[in-house]
Amino acid sequence: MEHPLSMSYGPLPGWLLLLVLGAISGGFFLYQVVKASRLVLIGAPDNRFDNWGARIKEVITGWLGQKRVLEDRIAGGIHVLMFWGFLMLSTDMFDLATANWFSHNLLPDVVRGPWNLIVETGYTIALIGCCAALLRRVVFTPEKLKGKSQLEGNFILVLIMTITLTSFVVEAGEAGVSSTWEPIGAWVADTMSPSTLLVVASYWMHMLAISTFLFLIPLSKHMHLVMAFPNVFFHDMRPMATMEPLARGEDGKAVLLDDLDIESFGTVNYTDLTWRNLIDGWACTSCARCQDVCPAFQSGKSLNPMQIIHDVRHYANDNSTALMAGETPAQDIIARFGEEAIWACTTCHACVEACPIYIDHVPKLTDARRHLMMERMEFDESVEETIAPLMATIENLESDSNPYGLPAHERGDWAEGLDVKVAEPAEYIYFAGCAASFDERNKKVARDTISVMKEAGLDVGILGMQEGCSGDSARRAGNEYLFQMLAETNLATFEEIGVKKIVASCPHCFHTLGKEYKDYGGEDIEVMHHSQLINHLQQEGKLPDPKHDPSVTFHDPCYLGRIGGELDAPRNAIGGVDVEIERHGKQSFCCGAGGAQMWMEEDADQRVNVIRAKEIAETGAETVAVGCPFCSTMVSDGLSAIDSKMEVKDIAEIVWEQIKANDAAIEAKKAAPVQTEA
Amino acid sequence: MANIVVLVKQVPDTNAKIVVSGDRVDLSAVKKVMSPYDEFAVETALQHREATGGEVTALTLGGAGADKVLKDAKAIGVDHIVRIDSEAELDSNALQTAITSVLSELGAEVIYCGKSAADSGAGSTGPGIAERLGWASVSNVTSVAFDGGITVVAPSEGGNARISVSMPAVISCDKGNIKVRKPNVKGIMQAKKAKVDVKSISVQASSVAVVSHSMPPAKPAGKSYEGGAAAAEVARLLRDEANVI
Repeated sequence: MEHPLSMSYGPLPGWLLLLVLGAISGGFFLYQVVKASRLVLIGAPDNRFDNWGARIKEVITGWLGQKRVLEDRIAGGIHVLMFWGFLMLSTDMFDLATANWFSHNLLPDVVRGPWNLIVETGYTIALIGCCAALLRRVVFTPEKLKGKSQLEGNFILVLIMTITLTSFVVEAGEAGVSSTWEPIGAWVADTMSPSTLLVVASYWMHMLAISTFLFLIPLSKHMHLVMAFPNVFFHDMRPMATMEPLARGEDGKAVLLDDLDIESFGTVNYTDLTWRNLIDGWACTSCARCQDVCPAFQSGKSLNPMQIIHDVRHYANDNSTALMAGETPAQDIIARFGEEAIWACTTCHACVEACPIYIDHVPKLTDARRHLMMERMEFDESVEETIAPLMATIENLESDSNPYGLPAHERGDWAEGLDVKVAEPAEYIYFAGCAASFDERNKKVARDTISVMKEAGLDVGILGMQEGCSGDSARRAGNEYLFQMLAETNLATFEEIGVKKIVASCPHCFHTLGKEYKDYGGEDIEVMHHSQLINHLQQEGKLPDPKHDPSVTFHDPCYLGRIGGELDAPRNAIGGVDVEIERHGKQSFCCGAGGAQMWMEEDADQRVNVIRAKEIAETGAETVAVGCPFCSTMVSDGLSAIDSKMEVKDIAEIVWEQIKANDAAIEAKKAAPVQTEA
Repeated sequence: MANIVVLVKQVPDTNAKIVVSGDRVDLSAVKKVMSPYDEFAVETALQHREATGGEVTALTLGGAGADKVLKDAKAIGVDHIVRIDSEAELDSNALQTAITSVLSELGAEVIYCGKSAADSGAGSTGPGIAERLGWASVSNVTSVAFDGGITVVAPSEGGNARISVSMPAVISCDKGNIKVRKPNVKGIMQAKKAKVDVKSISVQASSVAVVSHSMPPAKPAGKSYEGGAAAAEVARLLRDEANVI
């Protein structure tokens, strides 16, 4: 039969109809993509053109390989079918639009067959994926989709179904459809022998569906078809949760405070966000995985990480004329995010970890905090109570280099009587951090850590009153200036004393000193978490093998596990964990203290630690091991709130208890009278 | 419009541990801060400017290290910062004379200062300068209002006095209900770049000198008593030794 494109429809030839259809839909699509790109490119500069090898690799695994999408086996699997299906079938569009000129004239004969098979497979798996997706949405509706409009999602799926089904009929209508290379088309031809009318109708339905799709893509979450690729390619390659200094010099290092010369701080306007941060808005697929794992959202606070990302795109569209004209809209982006949301984030990065297309939710919030904390210094009424204790903490950090406001000269007092070097060179410097220096419960962790290190015969010292706060809380709270001041002071101390290896029992110190200080100096200093050192010493035989205790579970601190990437050492250090908390490892749920939340007021009915405590209690374990002073406090409080008798112990406490028990057993054995034969 | 001067002094951090080595306080490891009462003086001076217009100059005396407190004042909004350059340890007499000589040069019309410095605690600078200038002097004020003139509240025997002060005057500030504003980082950064106007003047010699510093004697250990039988003895000690009942 004649190709539908070569037919005439009344006075109009088919090709003219297609040309008009294509020009309208394609033109609209292009216009919208250009508009979105312009709205992205007015963002602040950000050098993401480094490290091409690693970026390409990530595109292969993360975009083509759908690595993160597949973290959700069902939804991810369905997505892979449609994603790969579309990649495979996409070139058929050229063939359909050129009345088979593409396959018959452009493709070499030897390629045509396999090409047909690829396209055919593409249509087939896209159809399977599409049916599965519809089934998931309509029949097995996930909790997060219930009560929400399914119209857009379902309509798109019906479109995809139309595109795939009609393609088989069109194939069947082609002369010489090959049962080898186009088995389904051939089967349709054999069994249904579609009439010319049906083939022609299918062809135009197919083209119409594609055109509709072109309209819908830029207006819906399906813009991710365009923006996911750049989002993955230009993703942040630094270690997770490493924040950006106020300014970088030509050498790539942070500009030191004395040389710093900047006029504005953080994000208040849309254009203060970097262009890569802005792409997120259009790349978001609304899968809501971030919302599912967010401790703020789960505890009923105003923050929904997905909404923050939607806010970026909606704000841009609402104000597109002003933004593209270089004007500043009346409402700033902070007002759009909402201060309650901005101050609710624990910076646990569960959202970032969960996102299949590498969206960075957290910097948008912490950059907004920077503006509020360093420049505006005025807070919305809705957050005044939340912020009040944080402001007192900031003052304490400024005056005494600890959040509690206790005298800085008392910082090393916890080590009294421990026979440890103070502020002098030693192979290992134990950086106690504020909590273990001043908080009674956590001082014991510091003392036990030192005892364990000395037991292994290490040359160990502390910095005593010369140690200062690492600055983690100041940084996450948005006071970057204070953070940098604390960092520069500590780095000067490290240099003066000749610090080479630092051991921290606080994962926030571990992260800040180990990853973030590198921008300011001290590149050669090795920083480890105490669980890593303990585990290493056990493996080397410098400490006895840990004793396995089946009644102990372990709560992964965000900044050690998900962010720090260390999941095994703390478990190995205490002899392995049999009963895991349901959300553990990289999927661990925050205790509620991170992101300077430790120092903010939290509504009694929105406590993150209570949610976590329930999850911990559900394991039925007798003891929960922790590796973070803030987790220790939050989990203990949470367990009390739910009347659980479970014990909370730091890794170091458990290890030191085991060593002491071991020593006592040996002593008892020695002291026992030697049995002699009568 | 008023030409306002606020006097600020750098003192050891009030939270710091004070160590006496030899017969002198060793401040080498101690952080220096603006004397807390001076912070109230700076805040009051800024409120004065906001009410009547004019300019605020922060003035200190010391070596280059004292620039920090001037920059702290600059960060929250004073217009000019001036330091009388002197590393010498001056007594009150020499210090007040030196400051007075510069005040005339600055054309001051009203002077604010803290009620006393956190280190020496003498409280003589404000009144001493007023005496030298022949100006009005009010000390320990807890609140200031600028409705037409300057009205201050200062403690007096058995209560508070509301006092109307005419310029020129020296006003020393207590904590009261004055809430000190906080600098934002932008202010701090700009203050860092601000230039300190350094005055070199000849300073007269001190007429008194510190002979030695010593720590206050350690508190004697407390006594503890148990059981009802000791009640009479405890009551006697509270009455005769502690003088509390």
